[in-house]
Amino acid sequence: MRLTELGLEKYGGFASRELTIPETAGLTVVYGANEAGKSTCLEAISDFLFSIPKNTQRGSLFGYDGMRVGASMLMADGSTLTLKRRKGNGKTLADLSGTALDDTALAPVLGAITRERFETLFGLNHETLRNGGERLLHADGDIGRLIVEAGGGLRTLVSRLEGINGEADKLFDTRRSVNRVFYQQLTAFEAAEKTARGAQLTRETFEQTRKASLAAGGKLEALRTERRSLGASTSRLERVLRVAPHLRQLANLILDLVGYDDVAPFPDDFVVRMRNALDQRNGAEKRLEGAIERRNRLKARLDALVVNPGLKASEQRVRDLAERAIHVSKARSDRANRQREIDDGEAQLAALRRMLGLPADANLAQLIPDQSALNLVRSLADEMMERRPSLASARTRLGEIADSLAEIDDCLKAARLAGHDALPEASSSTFASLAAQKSAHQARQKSLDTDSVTLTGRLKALGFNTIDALATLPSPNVDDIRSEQAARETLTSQIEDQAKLQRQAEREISAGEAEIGALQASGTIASDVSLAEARTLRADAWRPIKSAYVAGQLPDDGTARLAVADGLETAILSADELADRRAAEAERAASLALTLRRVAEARTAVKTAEEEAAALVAQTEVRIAQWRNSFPQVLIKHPELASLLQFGQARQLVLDESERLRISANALALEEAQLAPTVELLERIEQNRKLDTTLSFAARVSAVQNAISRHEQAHAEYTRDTRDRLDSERQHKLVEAEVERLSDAQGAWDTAWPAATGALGLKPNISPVDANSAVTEWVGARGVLSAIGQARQRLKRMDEDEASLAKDVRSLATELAIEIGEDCVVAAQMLLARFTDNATAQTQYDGVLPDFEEAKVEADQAEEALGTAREELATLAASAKLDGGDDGALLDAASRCEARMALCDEIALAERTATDVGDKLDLTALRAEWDERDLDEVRAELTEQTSRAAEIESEIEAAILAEKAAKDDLAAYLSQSEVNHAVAEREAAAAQMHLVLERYLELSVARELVTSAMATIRAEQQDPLIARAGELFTATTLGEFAGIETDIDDKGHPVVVGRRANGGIAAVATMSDGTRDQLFLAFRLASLENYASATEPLPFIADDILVHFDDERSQSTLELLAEFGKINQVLLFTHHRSVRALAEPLVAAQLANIIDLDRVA
Amino acid sequence: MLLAGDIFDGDLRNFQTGLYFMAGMRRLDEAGISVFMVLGNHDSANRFADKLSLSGNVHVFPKTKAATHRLEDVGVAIHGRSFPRPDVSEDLAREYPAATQALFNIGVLHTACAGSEGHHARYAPCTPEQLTNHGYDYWALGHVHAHAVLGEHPHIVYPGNLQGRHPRETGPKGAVLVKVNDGRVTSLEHRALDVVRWASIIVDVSGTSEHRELLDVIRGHIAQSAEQADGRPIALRLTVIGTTPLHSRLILERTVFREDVETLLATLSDDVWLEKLRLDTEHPAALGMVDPTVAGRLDQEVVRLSQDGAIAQVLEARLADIRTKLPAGAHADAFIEQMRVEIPERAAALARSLVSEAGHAPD
Repeated sequence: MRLTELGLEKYGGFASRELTIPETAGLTVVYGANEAGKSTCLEAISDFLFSIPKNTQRGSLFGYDGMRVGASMLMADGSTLTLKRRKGNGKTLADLSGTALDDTALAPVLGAITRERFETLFGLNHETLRNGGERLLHADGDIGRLIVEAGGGLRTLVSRLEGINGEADKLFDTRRSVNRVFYQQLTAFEAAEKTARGAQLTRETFEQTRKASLAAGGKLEALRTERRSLGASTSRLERVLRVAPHLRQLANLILDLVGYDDVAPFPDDFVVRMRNALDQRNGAEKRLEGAIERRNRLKARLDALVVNPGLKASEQRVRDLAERAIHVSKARSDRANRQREIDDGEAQLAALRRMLGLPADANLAQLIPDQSALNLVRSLADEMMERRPSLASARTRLGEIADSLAEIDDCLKAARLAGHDALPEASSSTFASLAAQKSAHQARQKSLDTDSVTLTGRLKALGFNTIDALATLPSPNVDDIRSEQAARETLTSQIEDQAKLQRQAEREISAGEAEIGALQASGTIASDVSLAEARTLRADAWRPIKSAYVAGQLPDDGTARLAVADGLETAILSADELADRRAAEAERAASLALTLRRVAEARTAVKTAEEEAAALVAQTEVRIAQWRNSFPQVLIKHPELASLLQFGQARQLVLDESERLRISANALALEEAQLAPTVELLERIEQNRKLDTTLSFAARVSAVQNAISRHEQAHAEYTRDTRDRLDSERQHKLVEAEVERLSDAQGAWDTAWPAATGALGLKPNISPVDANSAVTEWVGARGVLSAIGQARQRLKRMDEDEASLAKDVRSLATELAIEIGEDCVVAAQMLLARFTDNATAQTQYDGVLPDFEEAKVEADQAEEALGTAREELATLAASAKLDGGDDGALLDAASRCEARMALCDEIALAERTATDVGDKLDLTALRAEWDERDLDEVRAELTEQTSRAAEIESEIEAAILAEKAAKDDLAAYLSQSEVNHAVAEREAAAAQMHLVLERYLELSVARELVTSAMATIRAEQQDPLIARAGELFTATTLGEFAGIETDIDDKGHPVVVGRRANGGIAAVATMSDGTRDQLFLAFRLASLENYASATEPLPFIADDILVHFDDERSQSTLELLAEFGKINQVLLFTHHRSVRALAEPLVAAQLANIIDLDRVA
Repeated sequence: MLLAGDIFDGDLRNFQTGLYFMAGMRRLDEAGISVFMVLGNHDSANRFADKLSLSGNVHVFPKTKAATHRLEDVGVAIHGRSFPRPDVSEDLAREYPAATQALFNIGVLHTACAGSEGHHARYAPCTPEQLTNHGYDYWALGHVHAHAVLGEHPHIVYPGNLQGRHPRETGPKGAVLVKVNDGRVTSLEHRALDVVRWASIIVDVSGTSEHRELLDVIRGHIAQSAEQADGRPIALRLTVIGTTPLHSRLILERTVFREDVETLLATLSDDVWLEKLRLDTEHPAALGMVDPTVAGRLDQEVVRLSQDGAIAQVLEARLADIRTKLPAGAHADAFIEQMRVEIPERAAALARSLVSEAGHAPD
């Protein structure tokens, strides 16, 4: 196909762009400067053919919604296909009428080609061209590669194949190599296999270990048994060694026993009884001795105690005297104190005596004044001391008050003079805001004046002198004007519409008439009427024939019959023909009828429109007239509605403003009136106070305010002072009264004082202080005097007591015939002492007496006991055939008996010990065991056995370890994991080998397939492709080369070579870069021609491929493309003006088109 | 515990496996659990299977004829017979003892039961109807690796194996826990005991045109199936099918694509290992029209060659080379067979991608 149109909507940088490709030539050069949209167009072509990719960059400006790429294509068979592609899912194509189609709509265009293949094969830019040429060089013109890369566009195939070779070789080959992955894995596999096998546990191994374990166990058992028996034997020997000494000792003891046979027959208790009896006798003797001694001692004591009965009987008297003696002695010591009391008292009274002017020994007792006189003096003295300071201070106070009163009076007088005794004319707050209000008022007045002036100006501008004139002017208001304007506009547009309709209808009419003409031009249509006519004719023709046939009567005339038959035939034919025509033309007839109707309708429409328009025009005129009549005056000045509107608006504004000013003026006047009284007051005050009225209003106000506040302050002071004065006066009165009172009291006191002091014997002019102290002395003196009296009394009594005591003591002592001293107290005490002693003696005697009686009895008993004991002893001695009187013999026998018994005990003990030491075996057995053997021998044997036992211990230890080792081995078998690990590794290596081989097989077989296919295709395509490419190459090299041929190179590969025009052969390597590029291009184009001949061609899209060519080559290549373009469309996009210039001659020759991108809207 | 055969897989030469099994049986012994087992076809090939010194709680049924163990305390009779040799083709179940009255009868049998055997060898064949009519209350079957309940009156159960061993054994694997009360089965639940889950996923990427999009589709599928594994690691065989214009690029860059998928797996929180990645995608079909370009002709020729016998010969030659180098212990035979089947199509796909314009960067 060839692209004839390409349209982009909201694609890339274009809101809308259309490219129209003329069909006059196959090669189209699309020239556009940078940023003109060349790459956008290129991409759009692919997007149109194969769908717009999901993540296209072309939507960054306008988004995806409205993106459309449309194209018109001219197919090889001459049909056209116009489609539009949108971005999205599902059916993204649409035809002209907007029906959605899926991609099968493009199947006739694309065939089996994919986007990648199309872009690779049918697209070439200067880079791919250049690289293609490079690769030709590297391939040395290898034909296979040429066909595949230049012809097929598969530029990576060869390198991929090479990659596969490399990869396969690294994986596997029949030759073992440590670098090949397979063999690396094989080595790992073999190693793991070996380990696994080596670590396997066979049953035999297991059994061996198990048997070894059992054997070790057996050995251990045997050793243990030996140790046990050895232990038993050792203990026996030890026992012998222990027991033997004891047995020996026992034998000795038994021998000794024989020596006591003489005392053997004595009864067992002989010793005890004997000793007992002896002890008894000795004890009794001793007892008797003691009892007698005690008895005598007690007697002596009794005799020593002597008691005086008389003294005992005088107990009461003695005690009594003793008590009195205590009192007297106390009084004696007290005497001095009493005397001292008296002296102190006298001393105290000395001061008073002095005060009273009396001699030292005067008797004050008589002079004691009574209490009331003392109190009087005291109270008077106190009174005086109190009053003195009070009176002084009251007087002072009085003076002060008088002074302050005088002061206040002065102030009050001054205030009255200044007139501050009255309130000021106004309060200071009255004028607080006056200044501000006044100035604001003035400002507003000013602005009002200004506005008035302005207003007047505007008024004049409108052409009026007074407001009234303007107000009373009859004029429509702004809204009316506007609505009038709108109404007129509506009418106008309606008229327009009608005109349009009319025109449309006229067009309809002319179109319809043309159609009718056309329809009728192709001949009269077979109408119903004509058909009916024909049918009638036919019927008429048939009728006679039918009747003849039915009647069976044919006319005789053959010619006539023929004529009639012919006539019928003709009629039938014509009717049929007409019917056919009618049928065929049914459509046309219908169209004709339709068209006629349409024309008629249109005519009616025209008429209607005309009438409507006329009516509307009339309406408009009426309206205008009405308007003009309503406001004639105004319309003279402003005939146009627009200017009238302006005027109306201005007028309204002026009127509004005027009203506003009026209201403002009124308000201002009101304000002034309100302020007036305050201002008057201000002026009055100024006058009164003689203030400066020439100052500014604000200054005046503040001056007035200041004056008033000063006045207010002074007035307040005045009021305060008046109050203070009243207070002071009051106080003055009070203090005066006080002073008087005190003075009177003082007078009274002066009279009473001398009398009172005289009563106490004091001087009349004595000071109150002194008087007070005298009083105090008197009060004290009373007590002192009484104390002195008491003390004297006591002393007297003391003397009396002592005399009495002395008398009584002497009489008692004489009675009891006891010698006493002079001092009665001492004597009394002595008597008491004597009495006490006596009493003690009596008590002691009473205590000792019963003991004495007791001692006597005991002595008797002791004697008796002794006798009994002696008897018993004698009996016992006789029984043992001993002399009862020989104590020594008796004792001796007893002790021998005792010794024997001890020996028997020892023997018993020795037997027990032997048994104990000998592990409780009986003596017979022990003796048998010892068997009188030599102990040294036994010891030697024991040593031997002990060393053997030690040996066995270490043997047993070794045997235990051996058994444990064997058991451990068995347990280890169970926990070994070496084998599992090795098996896992082996399997892993096997799996790796599989993977490697799999990949190797895949690669090598695939390579085989591809190389085989390439060989086949090469064989197939080689000759025709080379031939055709050679023709194209020749053309493009302008005859430098005459063609392309095949050859075999040094390595035996088939290659292409160029045949120079002069006949020489040029290897690809010897060609210049540019020539090689052209060779590449020639093959590509030849390949595309192949494609075009097999299926629907596709446009070849070259993106500035002439960049690397000089002018000559560019020219020749352009010509080549133009030639190629005859078979297959070529779109060459370029930035370069030079290329465009080169194409111009081709355009002239109608071999190429030029499209300028930036000029297309 | 009933073990219905195939404890061991063939004649293992490593005694450790036997020790491991014995230790396990000892543990059961210590817990007072009895084990009743029959030997199956694989065990029979194992030399020491019946020479293991198993603890006293394990009762292996004899090979010569079927025997019965009675457990009076729980009122159960268990009948079974071990395979006398590896390939048993007669119907063993027929000779099993009759049901004991008043006891709960259990039959332990290693068999390829009709209808369930799948690809397993047809040893000791029998039918579910036969087993039903035998009169037992429960049949514990072994040999088939997939869990199946063939009937419920009485219960005829294949517990399946404990762990899937290759990608064809997908889904949860484990044992069956049966509760019997008053002589009736009150519950039967399959407990998953496997430590790795095989998964085979087919992802259809038709309609994707961007590489990122394709990977996201795959990720979604994998994540979904990973959820069902209950936190177990997954061994994944991934097959990608569908019509997508990315086909050629995927084929050309197969290793890169595999790496992409493995990277993607690494981002999942589950532990997924890619065992195998198959590409079965297709290029969107051309409209059946002939492409006269060189590339189109090459593509046509490649397709024709790949169906030609010549290429098969090339493949055979290569396989012969490989056979000499690949050790038998690395599963050589199975591998070569697989390659014979798969490579022709894969090589053709790669060849067609090579001759396409896929991945053409600007020059």
